[in-house]
Amino acid sequence: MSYLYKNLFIITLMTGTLISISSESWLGVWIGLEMNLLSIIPLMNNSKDLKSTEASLKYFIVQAMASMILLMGFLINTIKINLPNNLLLENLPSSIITTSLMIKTGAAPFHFWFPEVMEGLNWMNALIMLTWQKIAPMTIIMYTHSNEILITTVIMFSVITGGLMGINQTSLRKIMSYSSINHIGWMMAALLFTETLWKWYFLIYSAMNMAIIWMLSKFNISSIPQLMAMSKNNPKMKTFFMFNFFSLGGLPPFIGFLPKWLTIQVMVLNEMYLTGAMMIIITLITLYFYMRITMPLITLSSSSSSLNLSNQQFKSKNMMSLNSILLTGLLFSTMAFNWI
Amino acid sequence: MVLNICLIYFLFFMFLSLSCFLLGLKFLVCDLVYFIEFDLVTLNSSSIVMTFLFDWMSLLFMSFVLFISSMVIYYSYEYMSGDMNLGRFINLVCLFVLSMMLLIISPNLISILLGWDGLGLVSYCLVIYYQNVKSSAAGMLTAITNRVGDVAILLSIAWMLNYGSWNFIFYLSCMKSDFSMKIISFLIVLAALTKSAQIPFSSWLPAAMAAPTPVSSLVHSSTLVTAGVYLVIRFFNCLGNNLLMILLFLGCFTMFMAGLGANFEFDLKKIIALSTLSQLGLMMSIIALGEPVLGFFHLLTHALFKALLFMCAGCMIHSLADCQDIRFMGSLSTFMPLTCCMFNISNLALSGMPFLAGFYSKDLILEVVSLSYSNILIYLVFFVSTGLTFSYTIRLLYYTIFGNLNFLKFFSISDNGAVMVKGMVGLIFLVIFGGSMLSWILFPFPYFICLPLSLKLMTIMVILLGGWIGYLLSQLAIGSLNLFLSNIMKSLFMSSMWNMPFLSTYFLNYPTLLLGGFYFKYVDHGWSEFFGSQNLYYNLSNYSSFFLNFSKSSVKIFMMISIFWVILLTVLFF
Repeated sequence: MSYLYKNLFIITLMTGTLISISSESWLGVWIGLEMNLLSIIPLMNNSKDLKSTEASLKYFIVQAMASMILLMGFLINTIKINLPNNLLLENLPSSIITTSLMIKTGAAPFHFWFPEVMEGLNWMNALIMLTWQKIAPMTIIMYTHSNEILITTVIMFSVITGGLMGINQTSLRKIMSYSSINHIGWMMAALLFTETLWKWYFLIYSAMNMAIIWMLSKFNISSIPQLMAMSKNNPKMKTFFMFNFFSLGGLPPFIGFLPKWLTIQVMVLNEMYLTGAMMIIITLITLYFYMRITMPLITLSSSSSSLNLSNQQFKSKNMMSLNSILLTGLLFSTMAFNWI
Repeated sequence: MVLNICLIYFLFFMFLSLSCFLLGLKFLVCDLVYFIEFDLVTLNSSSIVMTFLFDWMSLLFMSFVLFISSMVIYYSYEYMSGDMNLGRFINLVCLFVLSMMLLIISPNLISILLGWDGLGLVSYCLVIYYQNVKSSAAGMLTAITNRVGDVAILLSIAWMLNYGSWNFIFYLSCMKSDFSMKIISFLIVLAALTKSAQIPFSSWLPAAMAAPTPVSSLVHSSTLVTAGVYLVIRFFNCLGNNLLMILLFLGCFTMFMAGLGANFEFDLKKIIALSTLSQLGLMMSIIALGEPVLGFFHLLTHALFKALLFMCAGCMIHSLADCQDIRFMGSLSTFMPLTCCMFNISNLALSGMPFLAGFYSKDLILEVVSLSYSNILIYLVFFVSTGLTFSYTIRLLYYTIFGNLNFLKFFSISDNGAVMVKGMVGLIFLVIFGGSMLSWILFPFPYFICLPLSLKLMTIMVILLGGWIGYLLSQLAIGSLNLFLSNIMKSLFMSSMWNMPFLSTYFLNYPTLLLGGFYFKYVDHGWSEFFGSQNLYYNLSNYSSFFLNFSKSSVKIFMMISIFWVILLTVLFF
C-alpha cells in the first residue's frame, strides 16, 4: 500500500504534540510543534488533488511563521532572564508567544488562514485539523499564564467571528471551521480559569466533531445542498446528524451543553459577566446556522438526487455507541450524580 | 320498557334520593350534623383530608337533586330516543349529578372547587350537545362566564391559606371580622353571582337554553344555577352588611329585569329560563335580607316546579316538531290535555297560587319582605316582580294553551309519549304537595307574621293585577295602537335583558379583538418583525458578508499583519 507512509507520519504527528505539551523547556516546545507541523504536511497532501497541495502549503507557511514568532518570543525571554529552561515568562515574551500560539490554533483575529486551509482538506484531515492540532498550542497557552486582557480580547474576537462568519456559508468545511473558531473562544475562556475544564471541553468537543465528521466523510458531503441526498430514506441517520449538531451548539439535553454550562459557571464565579453574556448571545447565532443546516432535513421531504448515495447504511456499531453516549450522556450523568 | 341505561340510573337515583330524604328527616328531627373525614395522605404534620358534611340541608338538597335527576333521566329515554349518543348524554347528566353531590356535601373549598369546575365543564358539554354554531357560541358564553366564578373560588382558596385549612365551615363565624375573610366572602359572592346568573353575568342562562330540554330542566333551572345560592347559604355567616346590601340590590334587579324580559320573549324555553332567573333573584335577595332558610326553602320548591315546567315544555316542543316559538302554539289543551294540565299546575305553582308548592315559599318570602326593615325601592321591586311573574305566566298560558291552533296544517300533537308523561307525573305530586310538606318539616314553628290587612292582601292584589296586565298585553291586535312598535328602542332594551348579552359578548370581545388585530398587524407583522427577526438576520448576514472581504486578501497580507502586530507588541512592552 502506497499510503503506508501515513502511518509513520501519524505517529510522528502525535509524538510531536506529546513532546511539546510535556517538555520542560521552550526549545522542547518548539521542537514538538515543528515535528507536528512537518508530519502533517505529507498527511495533507494528495497527489490527485491540487487544492490539498495549496492548503498544505498555506498551512506550512503560516505555521512556520508562527513557530518563528514563538522562537523569537522565548529567545527574548532568555535574553531578559538568562534561563533557557524557564517556562515562566516576562510580560513582552508572554504576549509574543501567546500571539504565535493563537496563530497556530487559528483563534480570531489570527484565523484567516484557517477556513482556507480547511477548504482544501478531506474530512479526515479536517478532523485532525479541528481537534488534534489544537491540543499543543492551547495547552501551552494554558501553561504560559499570559496577559488576561489579550486572552479576553481573543475570546471575544473568536466567539464573534465564529458566530458571525458562519451565517453566509454553504460549504460545510467552512461552517465547521467557523464553528471551531467559536468553540476556541469558549475553550480559551475555560482554560483561563481551570485546566480540567478545558480538558473536558476539548474532549467533548472532539467527540462531537468526530461523530459529525464521520458521517460527513462517509457520505462524502461538502456543502449543505448535498445533505438532502444523504438523508434520503435514512431517518436514523438524519436524527443522529441533527442531534449532533444540536449538541455542538450546546442545546441542553445533549452533552454539548455540559462544558458550556461549566464554563458559564466558572465565568460567573470569577465575575466575568459581560464576556460570558456576550459569549452566550453570540453562540445563539452559531446555533442558528446549525439549525439551518439540519432543519431542512426534517422539515422538507427529501428530494431525489441524481447521485444515489442513499443505499449506504448506518451500520457501524462504534459510531452508534459514540452517538448514543454523546447524545444521552448529559441525561445519564445527571441521573447518575443525583440518584446513585 | 326494557332495561336500559335510563332505567338503571332512574332506579339508582330514585333509591338514593329516598334514602337521602329519610336520612335528612332523621337529621332534621334530631338536629344532627355529621362530618366524615377520609385521611388520604399524611406527610409529617400536614395531612390531606377529604371531608364531607352531612346535615339536613345537604341531605334534603341531595334528595331533591337526585329525585329530579331520576325523573329527568327517565323522561329523556323518550325525549332523546333515536339520538345516536344517548349513552353519552345520560353519562354526562350523571357526571353532572356527581359533581353536584360533591359540591353539596363538601365543607371544604378545594372539594367545592372540584364540584364547581365539574359543574362548569359538564354544563358546557351539555350545552354544546347539539352540534351547531349557536350551541357552540352559547356554550362558550356559559363556560367563560362560569370561569369568572371558578377564578373567584381559586382566589379565595389562596386567601384561605391564611387560616391553615380549607374547611371554611369552621372559620365562618369566628373569623367574620377578619380582613381575609371579608375578601373571601366577597369572592364567594362573586362566584355565586356567576353561577346563579345574577345581574352582571345574566346573559348565559337564556343562551344555555341551546341545550336539550331535559338538560334545561335539570341543569339550567333547578340544580346547577342554585349552586350559587347554596354557596351563599353556606357562607351566610361570614357575609358582612355591605356585601349583603350589594347582593340584595343585584338579586332584586335580576328578579325585576328577568320578569320584565320574560314578558317580551317569544321563545318558550327562554321564557322559562328568564322566569328561573327571576326566581333566582328572589332567592338571592331573600338571603341577602337575612333569611337563608327561606331562600333554601324556595330553592327546593322552585327546583320542583321549574323542572316540571321544563319537562312539559319539552313535551310540547317534542310534539310540535322542535318548534319553540309560542306564536305557533295555541289550543294545545285540546290535543295534549294531560301535559297542559301539568304545565298549568306548575305555572300556577310558579306564580304562587295558594296551596301549590310555590305558594308556601313565595308568600312567606313576600310577607317577610313586607315585615322586614328595608326601603321602599326594595319593597316595590319585590312586589312588581311578583306581579310580572303572573303577567308572563298568563301570557304564556294564553299563547300556548288557549286560543286557536296556529301550527302547521300537518301535525301530530298528542299526549301519547307514555314515558315522558310518566316522568312528569312523578314530579306533579311533589309540585302540588311539596311546598306544604317542606314548610311543615323545615320550620318547627310557623313564622310570626304581623301585617295590616292591606299589606297582607298586597300579594294577591299585585298578582291579580299582573295577571290582568299579562292578559291585556297578549291581546294586542294588529289593528290596535302598538305600544311596542312605537317605543321600539325601549322595548328592545327591556326584551334583551337590558342589553346584557351584548355587554357580555360584543362589549368584551370587540375591543379586545380589535386591539389584538391592531397589535398583530402593526407589531407582530410590523415593527417587531422589522426590528426583530428580519432586521436581525439582515444585519447579521450583512456584517458577515462585510467581514468576508477580509478573507479575500491573500495569506501574504495576513502574515504581514501578524508580523506588524508582533512588532507593535514589542514596541509597547519593551
